Amino acid sequence: MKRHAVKTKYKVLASCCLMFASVAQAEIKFNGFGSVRGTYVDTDSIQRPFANLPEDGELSFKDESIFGLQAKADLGDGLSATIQFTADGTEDFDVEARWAYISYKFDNHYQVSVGKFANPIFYQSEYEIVGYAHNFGRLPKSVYFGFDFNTVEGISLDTNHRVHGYNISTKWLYGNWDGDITVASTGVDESIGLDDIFLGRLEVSKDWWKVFAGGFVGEFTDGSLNEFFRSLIVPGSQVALENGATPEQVEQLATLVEYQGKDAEYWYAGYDIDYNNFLSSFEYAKYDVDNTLLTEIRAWYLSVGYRFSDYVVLFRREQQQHITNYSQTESIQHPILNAVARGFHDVFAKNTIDGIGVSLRYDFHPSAALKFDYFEGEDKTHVDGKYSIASFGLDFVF
Amino acid sequence: MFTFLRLTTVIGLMLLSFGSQALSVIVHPSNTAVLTKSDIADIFLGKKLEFENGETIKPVSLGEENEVTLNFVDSVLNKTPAQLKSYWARLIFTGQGEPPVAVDSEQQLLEMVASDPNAIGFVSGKSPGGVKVVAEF
Repeated sequence: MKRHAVKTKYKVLASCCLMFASVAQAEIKFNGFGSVRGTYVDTDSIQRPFANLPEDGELSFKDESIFGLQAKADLGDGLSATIQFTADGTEDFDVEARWAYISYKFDNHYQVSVGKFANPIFYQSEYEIVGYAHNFGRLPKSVYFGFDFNTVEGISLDTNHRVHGYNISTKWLYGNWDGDITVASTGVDESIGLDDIFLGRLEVSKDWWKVFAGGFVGEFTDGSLNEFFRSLIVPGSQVALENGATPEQVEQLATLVEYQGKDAEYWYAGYDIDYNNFLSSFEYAKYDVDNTLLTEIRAWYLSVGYRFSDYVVLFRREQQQHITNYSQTESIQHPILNAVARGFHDVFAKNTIDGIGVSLRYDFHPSAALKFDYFEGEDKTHVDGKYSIASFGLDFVF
Repeated sequence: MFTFLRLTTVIGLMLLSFGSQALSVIVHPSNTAVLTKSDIADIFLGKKLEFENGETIKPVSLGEENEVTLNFVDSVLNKTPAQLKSYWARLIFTGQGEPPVAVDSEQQLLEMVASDPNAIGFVSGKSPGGVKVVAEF
């Protein structure tokens, strides 16, 4: 309900922006993008390897398909209003105003934006859903796992300078996010928020190479996700209470499993090379929620490839590891509660992504590309086993 | 043998001259900017936004499927058309840039550059009148 209200709010804001632009006889530019992709998953495990992908043995033309339309109204004197609508297959192609913001360009070097826009969690997050903008069939899942807080409401500053032939750009952002996170094991959306998001990004590039680094911090708010995590330790807590644990000790454990009031930190760094048709990119990411039993996550991917005229072939190796660290459980004195805490931590620590993939892109049309992607990985989440994901589809822009 | 080598060289040069059309990068006659190939590429990729005098550069292009544009994209930007489109998609859909204004004909482009001290464009052929050529490829 709350999410629906937020969507409606942005639809109204978007309409107002465009009406205002229309009244002022501003120039409005429309751009669009889309991906239509069939995805097939084959896995030894009892669950799909990633959320938003089809079940084992099923070919889906919905899970990785999306359409987007962006309208930008130039209001003159550096002021512009932008709205981006998307229809995502995972949301039954319901149209949503994903972005709605107003920008003011002070000069060629500084631009401020206010409203709802992308949260660049990692380097390519801002255009993650624009398939045509990158050569992968799917951005490496190890890093681009599909976080729900990929948009933010706030204010951002983009800077752009050219020094001795080097292009230096930065992004600074402050904002909040309020929404739902889908719990993989239940498939149910649970509410949560992120307040006081502070984000920074630095990118330095010249001719054929680019290096980048960035990160953000934010504080998780209350929401049903906290209650969900608390519910997971109820059976163990009951047993502990029956065996001498105090309510205070149970509450101490409950505080460690919830997100509320905890600081989240996300960091990344990497490079991108496109030299004489030789392509390589690397990104390393690390993220954590402080003072919880959740695991710290370290993820990376490395890709190498070559462009043969209208064809691009990319090979990639990627890995996401959950780091086991029992330091947070040491303060839990009661042996049963301590075992519950360690078990909770271990469940998250088992999640891993480890595999190799290949992407083939064929630019068969001035505005469209055919893409094939195959990924083979190992799933240690539930039952050790291998899985593979094959997808074929078309990405376009206009 | 010598005649054969001379003949193949001449044929090779003829093929080269047919294969790549001469290209002139032009600015307003009053513009004193000295631009390298790298500078020109950065201007048309939205990375270099100002001339040395601080004036905002206004790059003007021809349509993306125009032969002159294709030649420019290949020989100056060192990109394929799809690579360039992908590059602009990243900037457009993150609100960080817009591709150069595109006009329908070389005549229109020449008129725009001839009338705007901050405009820069590219046309086929060498030394067109009314504008200043800053680079030839």
